[in-house]
Amino acid sequence: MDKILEVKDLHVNFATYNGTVQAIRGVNFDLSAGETLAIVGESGSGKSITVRSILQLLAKNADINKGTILYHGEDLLKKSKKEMDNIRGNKISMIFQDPMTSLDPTMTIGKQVAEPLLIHNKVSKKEALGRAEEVLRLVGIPNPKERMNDYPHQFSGGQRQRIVIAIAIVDYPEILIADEPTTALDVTVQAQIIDLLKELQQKIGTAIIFITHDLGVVAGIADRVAVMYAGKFVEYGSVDEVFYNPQHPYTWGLLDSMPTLDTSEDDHLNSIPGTPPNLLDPPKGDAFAPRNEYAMQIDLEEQPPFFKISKTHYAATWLLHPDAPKVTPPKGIQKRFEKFKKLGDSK
Amino acid sequence: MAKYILKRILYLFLTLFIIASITFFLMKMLPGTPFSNQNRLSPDQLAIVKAQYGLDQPIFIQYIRYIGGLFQGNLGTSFQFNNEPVTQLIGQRLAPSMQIGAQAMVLGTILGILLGAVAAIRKNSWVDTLATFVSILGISIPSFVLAVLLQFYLAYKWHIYPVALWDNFQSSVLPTIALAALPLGNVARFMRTEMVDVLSSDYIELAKSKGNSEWQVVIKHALRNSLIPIVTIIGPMAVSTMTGSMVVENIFSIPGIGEQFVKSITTNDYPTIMGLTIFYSFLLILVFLVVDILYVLIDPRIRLGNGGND
Ligand SMILES: Nc1ncnc2c1ncn2[C@@H]1O[C@H](COP(=O)(O)OP(=O)(O)OP(=O)(O)O)[C@@H](O)[C@H]1O
Ligand SMILES: [Mg+2]
Repeated sequence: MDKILEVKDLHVNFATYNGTVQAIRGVNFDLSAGETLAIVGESGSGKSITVRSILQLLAKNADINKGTILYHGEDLLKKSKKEMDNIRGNKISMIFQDPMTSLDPTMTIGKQVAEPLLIHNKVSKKEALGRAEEVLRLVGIPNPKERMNDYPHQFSGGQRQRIVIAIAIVDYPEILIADEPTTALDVTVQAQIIDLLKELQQKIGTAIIFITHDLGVVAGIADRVAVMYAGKFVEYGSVDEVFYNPQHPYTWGLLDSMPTLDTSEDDHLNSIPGTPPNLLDPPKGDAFAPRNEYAMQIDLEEQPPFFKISKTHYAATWLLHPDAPKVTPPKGIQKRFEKFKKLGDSK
Repeated sequence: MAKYILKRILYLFLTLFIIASITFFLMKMLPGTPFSNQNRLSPDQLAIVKAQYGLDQPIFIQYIRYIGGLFQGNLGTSFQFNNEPVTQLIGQRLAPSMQIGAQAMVLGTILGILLGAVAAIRKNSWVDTLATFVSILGISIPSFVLAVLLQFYLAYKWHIYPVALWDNFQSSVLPTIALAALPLGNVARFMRTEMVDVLSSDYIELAKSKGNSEWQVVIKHALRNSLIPIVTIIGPMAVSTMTGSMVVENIFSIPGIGEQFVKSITTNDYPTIMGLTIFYSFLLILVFLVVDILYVLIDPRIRLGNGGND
């Protein structure tokens, strides 16, 4: 497949009063045209910073001090401000988390949706507004023609998120970054928004990077999943691989704390004990080791490399080293392994 | 909207009526009479003069007459200043005051907005420090001190502007600057705070993610959102400009209503003092009314009562 985006060895630091926060510590991934990559992980693991680095929408104290972000082979980190402006909202666009605060309260939504078109294309205001109306209809705003002149406060939260999505897709971007687009919405609306994103992806063929800390929504939308912890990816693979053949103890923990259709009343959900490390002073070894009941001596001394499980599936845990002892994963994960076998057999 | 404005105008007159009544009785309680420096008048002559101005009547009758006059747009006749009607006195002196007042407010507001905006955009840079310094100066130096300083250096020593003369635009420059400093300082400080807030909001980030350049973001999104709250300080700003104007007009010998006000106080010219008090109140209430209407017009989130369909 055609790789449109390749992030290599990305490191992002933040200068703070207390010292340097090493928020992203060597992230690698790629994205193919039209696919959906989900990035999951606990709060603070660096999901937002990773994707914001792509568009260079970072706080002033951020420093991308190492790595490359290749978009069609060209390093975005070497682009000028102006070249980046031309990419944002046009080739790569972003949907933000909180629809209640993402829209300009003093501008009509018609104008807000038309804005990217006017920035990036030589179109008249009238044409742009016409397109905006079409896209508002596409994302499911009823009576878009009449509602073009309304202001954000006149819409519900779910509608506002649809408008935010309309803004992101109005110029048919090649990559759509959705940073927890449903977190602020209630459950029924969440499902509608996910369906909308899938539908739009089919219509306009955009690739999606979908960030969430809710594994429940991942299976429904993603082709591939990356699991992030303390500024690094710890496991990535296809949805089936990560969901039914997870190898990293952190992934086990995440999956174990997620309710599924198979969880019965008496299976209690385990949240991962402990807290993530302080990134002002990240540990020398595996950052997850202190919370990992399967941790070995080497986890405290050296960071694990990625071990290959299949052509598409990798995990960074010493448990995959040939010399590592065999461990028994939690019961819930063993059930998943069984399911994975069936999936394999049926293929 | 029309209904709202009508209601506000009704309140305006009600407020004016109350202010007029309070001023009337306060004036009556003040010691001294406008004739105290004419004690050479015989008791008979004094009685004649008093009768001429209706001062021999019981206070209540005087009050009724005064309010009655107000309803006909009559503010009474001045005891001094050639017995001119007070309305005429104000009318003649309105233009210079309005000119320097308006010039000062416009200049102060525009410069303040620019200064505050640039300070916010370049937060923590030397521009920001400079802007803070300028606004603190503007707020803390009283306008009469500034007026005297400007007069001494720019007019008296260096002869760039006339010392105290009122004929052309040139002569309005120094008083305008003296009056503009306070609104400039206030607006700059307010604008900076608002703009810093707005620039860190989510919708500004979304505006950047659309491909707007830094300046496009400011012009298309940040400016308008930061300006809305600025409207609220226009009212208080008008108040301070009016009071500042009284002293500044005196320093530069500008034949405006502020100067007139001070003069009438020193000569116990009751009708003029009352007339001017009512006139100032009228102006202020009008400014606040205009500000409120402006607010409704520029902020789409503000909807007036009764279902928000007006
Ligand atoms: N401006 C900043 N200054 C200092 N540290 C920052 C800054 N922005 C982010 N960080 C740190 O970077 C780390 C990663 O943050 P990020 O926002 O990417 O987390 P996240 O995975 O998106 O979490 P969430 O699920 O809560 O959105 C966090 O530890 C955070 O404290
Ligand atoms: Mg985040």
